[in-house]
Amino acid sequence: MKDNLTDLEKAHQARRKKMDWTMESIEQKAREEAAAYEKLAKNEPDAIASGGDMANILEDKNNEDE
Amino acid sequence: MRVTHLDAEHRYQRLREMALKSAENAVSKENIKFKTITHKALEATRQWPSSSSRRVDWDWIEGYSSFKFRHPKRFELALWDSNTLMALSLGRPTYQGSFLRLDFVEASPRELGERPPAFGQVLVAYNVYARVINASHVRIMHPVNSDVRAYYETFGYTYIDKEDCLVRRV
Repeated sequence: MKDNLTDLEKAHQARRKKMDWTMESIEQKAREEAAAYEKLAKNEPDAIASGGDMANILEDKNNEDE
Repeated sequence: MRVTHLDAEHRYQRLREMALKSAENAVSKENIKFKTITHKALEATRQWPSSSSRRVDWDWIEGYSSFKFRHPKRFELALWDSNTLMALSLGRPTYQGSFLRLDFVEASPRELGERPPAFGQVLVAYNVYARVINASHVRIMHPVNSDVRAYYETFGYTYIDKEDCLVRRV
């Protein structure tokens, strides 16, 4: 029984912390970031791309899947 | 498709649309529109392979279909300047939900027509979705070259060599 309680405690510790974002605070933060990022836009490389193997999405065994 | 999968698809579609609307309002440029990936957006990518400056050989039509099928909690973005497609992106939360991965992003090759810078606006949308789903970090996967990686770092991202990705707290 004690072990089970310990496991629960561990699980609670590992649980993600809630960030307390509201839609209002998210939108405010987005406005600030949009203004800040605008200043970086002039340095954008011509060919923006990132990503792995798009042809292999269904077979991807990545353990980060939801 | 399982009922739970379909249910997640519907629930997260609402969150995606909410995030896109908030990002569009935040950027607040009359012609710039943040949309989900539609047939029209995918059709617009058909001309991208004709550009010699393109750095990837992705088939967005096939790729989007697979990603959508597999990841109901995904984030997706078609960024438009009026009727010109600027960029497409696909991402997803990790298993624990702590990270939002930006799995794919590609901007329209400038050789095919001038367009405004896209990446900062893509990031605004990702940051909004990350906060909506309570993720603490955004992770940009596999930058295509060192120039692109260096540019991402100017947004405060840190490169992780082992995983070939960049990460930043939101």
